[in-house]
Amino acid sequence: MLPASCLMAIPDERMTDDARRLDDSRAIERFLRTVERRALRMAELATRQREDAIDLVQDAMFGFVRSYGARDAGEWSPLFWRVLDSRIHDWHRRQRVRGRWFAWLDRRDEDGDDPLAAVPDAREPGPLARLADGEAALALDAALRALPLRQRQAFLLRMWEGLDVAATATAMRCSEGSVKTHLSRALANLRNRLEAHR
Amino acid sequence: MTTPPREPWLDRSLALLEQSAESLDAATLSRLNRARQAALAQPRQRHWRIGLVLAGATAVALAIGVGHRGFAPTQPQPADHAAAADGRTLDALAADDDSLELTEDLDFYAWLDAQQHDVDG
Repeated sequence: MLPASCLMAIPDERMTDDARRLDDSRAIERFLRTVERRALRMAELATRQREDAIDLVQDAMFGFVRSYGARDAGEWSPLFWRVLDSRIHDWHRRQRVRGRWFAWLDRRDEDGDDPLAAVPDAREPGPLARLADGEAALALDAALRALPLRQRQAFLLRMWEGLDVAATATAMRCSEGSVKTHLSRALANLRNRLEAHR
Repeated sequence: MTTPPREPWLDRSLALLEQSAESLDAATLSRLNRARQAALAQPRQRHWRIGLVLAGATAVALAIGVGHRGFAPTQPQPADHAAAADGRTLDALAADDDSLELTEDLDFYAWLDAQQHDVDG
């Protein structure tokens, strides 16, 4: 028969595990709260569609919690952005493949439904265009959309999200040198387009 | 070392980006909240558990490998058995003249056995 001290220790141990799990969940929730709005804006700039952007952020949250939720909190930020960056790249790949199929089907069936209806509308006002500071916001939105994906991601992660070069490289799955190159080009492109709006 | 001051266009752009993130509508915030709760409700990978399973699998694989190598020299293969048996038989036959005569008279003994069966039957 177990001594009384052992019997008392079992529930205490279980409570400690539960409490730790609850603390972990709260910490992850706090972290996700701090990044989700910027994540949505980043995805929206990439997809130009609110629905797809929300889906991407949701997928990124699932992937992050499943794969990296048990990691130390200090590692979370670059890992979350890495998952989102990966989802955004996947979305672009799917769009390219879909675009090729639609182009092929369009040639075969001229009378069918317009497949381009599913392609994002370039005239749709972006996430920034809805702001009160209309002209500057429109210019920024257009300038960010005009950047190649890697340059935009480098700019947003490094300058807006505030990741250092190493963390940005982790998030973008590339070398620190590549991050510096992408960022330098992004800043040059944005400066050219936005300096006039001072 | 001091960092150079940021250019005005950059400060303004970052402020606009921040403003756009803060001005999300309630419906979108609600959807983000639901997505977050759903993500938190799923099980998480425990990396130490994965490590433990991998370490266990490696240990088992090593044990099997070492055991196989350790026992292999003491366990002759079937081909070795056959070769050794053939060798021993030939040696025994070669060393014993009676055995050689026995192999030569096998037909005779087979005939004798058949005759005996006929008598018994």
